[in-house]
Amino acid sequence: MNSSSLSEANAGAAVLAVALVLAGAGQVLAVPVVANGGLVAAVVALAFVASRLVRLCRTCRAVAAVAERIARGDFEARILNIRDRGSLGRLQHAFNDAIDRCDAFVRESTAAMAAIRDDKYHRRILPKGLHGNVRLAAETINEATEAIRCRVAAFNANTARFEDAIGRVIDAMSGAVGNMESTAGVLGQGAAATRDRAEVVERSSEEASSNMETVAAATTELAASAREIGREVDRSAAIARDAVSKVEHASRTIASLSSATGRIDEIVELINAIAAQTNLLALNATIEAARAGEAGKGFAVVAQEVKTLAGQTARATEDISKSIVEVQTTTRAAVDAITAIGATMAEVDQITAHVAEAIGAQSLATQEIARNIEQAFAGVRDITTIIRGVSDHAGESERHAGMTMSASGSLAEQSHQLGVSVKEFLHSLKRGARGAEATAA
Amino acid sequence: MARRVTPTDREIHFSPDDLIVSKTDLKGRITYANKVFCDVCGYAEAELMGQPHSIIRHPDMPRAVFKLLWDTIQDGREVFAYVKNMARNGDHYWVFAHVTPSFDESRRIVGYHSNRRVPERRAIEAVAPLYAEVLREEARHANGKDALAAGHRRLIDFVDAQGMPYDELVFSL
Repeated sequence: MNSSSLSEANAGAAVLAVALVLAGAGQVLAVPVVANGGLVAAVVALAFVASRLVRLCRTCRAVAAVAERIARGDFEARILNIRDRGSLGRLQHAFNDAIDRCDAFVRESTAAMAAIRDDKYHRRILPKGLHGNVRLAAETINEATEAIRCRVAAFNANTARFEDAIGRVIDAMSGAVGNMESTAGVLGQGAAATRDRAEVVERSSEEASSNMETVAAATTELAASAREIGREVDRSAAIARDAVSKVEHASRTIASLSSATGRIDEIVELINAIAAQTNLLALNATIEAARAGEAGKGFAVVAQEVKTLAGQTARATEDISKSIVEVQTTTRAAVDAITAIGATMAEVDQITAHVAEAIGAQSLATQEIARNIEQAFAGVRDITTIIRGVSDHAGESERHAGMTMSASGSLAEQSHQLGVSVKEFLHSLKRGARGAEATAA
Repeated sequence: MARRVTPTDREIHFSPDDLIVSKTDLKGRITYANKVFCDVCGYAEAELMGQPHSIIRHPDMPRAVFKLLWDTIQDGREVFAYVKNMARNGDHYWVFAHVTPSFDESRRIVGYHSNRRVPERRAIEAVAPLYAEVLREEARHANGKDALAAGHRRLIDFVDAQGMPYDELVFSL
């Protein structure tokens, strides 16, 4: 077939008209051959026209069916087996071409959108073969894709930077937390060691304190005994001084005794002289009595008696003299002794004075010691109080170090959690609406 | 169509405004060919209908390219490929083919559709030596299966060496 049913029908109709004219002319001119031939030709032409019209109708139905499928969105529909040429053929090819280009646009735009859905932004609608408004639509979609690509790239760059920055912050935080943890550990150990040592110092200072108390008590006692010794020394000094005065008094008494013995000596010599005189007188009496004989006999006895008495007196005075000498010797020894005692006593007095002085100094020193001890004691008490404070503070520090340690642990956990959350957040951002849909579904 | 066509090494061209359009069933048999297709390749519509699409295959085309193409569209995805086709008289024409599965309303693949456009010249210059190399690789194997596998490997190696996915690479040429 070289032409379309429509042009063939047109040609058939023309032939039919010519045949009818011929048939009419034959009838009018009474030429039966022409009239019959014309009629036959007209019938044939009519049959041809009818068959072409039937084909035309079939083509129209086919085109309508395709158009209806296209209208329903079935882009698989095409007019097939196009045999017509001419305007009807052109119509069908143009119809197919229109569908082809629409189909191309639908496939291209679907692919481009599906690529965006799948996070691919390189896919563009190929503009070749698309014209007019379809091409404009394709270009608009391509521009939109490029805009989305830029935004997604910017978004990705921003989230990457953000993730990087957060990552660095978290790393720094983790590092800081690690440092904090180790610092807290060291601090805790230090505080524990301090507390231990402070407890040792506290025990020692308490011990020192009680030792100090003992020393203070001992010192007070020492001071008291020093005072007592001072008093005793004073008393012995007084006694010594009393002894010295008594020695002087004894010395004086002995001196007067010595002079008394001297006087006794004189008396004894006088008695001796009287006794010698008496003896001489008795001798004379005896001689006289002898001359007087018998008469003188009684007298002789008396004379003898006087003589004996004189002898006895002489012996007594001799004894007295001897005793006096003894007394004098003894008195001299006593004087010597007393003098020596006096010197010794003076010495004792002097020593006692020195001792008293030393005791006074000692008492002062003891008081000084007691005061120093009291001060030291106060110092030790202060130390004990301070050390107790240090111990408390060390305990507190230890507790805080522990708290810091657990806080740093929780901080580490939280910074890790932050990292995870940020990652999840960014991930969910990147997943975008599709992720949200999937989650919702 | 048992006719043997001998390549002429003569290239023919079609208008950049035109689309060569064809549809096939799931087995690759032609169910629609537009007028441009018929005009370029020189076959009448009636001659093409029901024929395998390989009717216009040029012997310079490696089989691996068609394997890649079929693997992709059977997976439900679109694919682009530079293809050298052969007309009825042995002349050839290069196309930038966009092949897509056609889906019904329940998203089942009911057939395949190919839009072919005039390719960029520089893309043809890039792709022709590669195809020649893949073809040589395929020719070294007597067994068809081995030849296809070797050619496919060569093609995939080339794509991997470019450092981007095939569907991005095909646009960058």
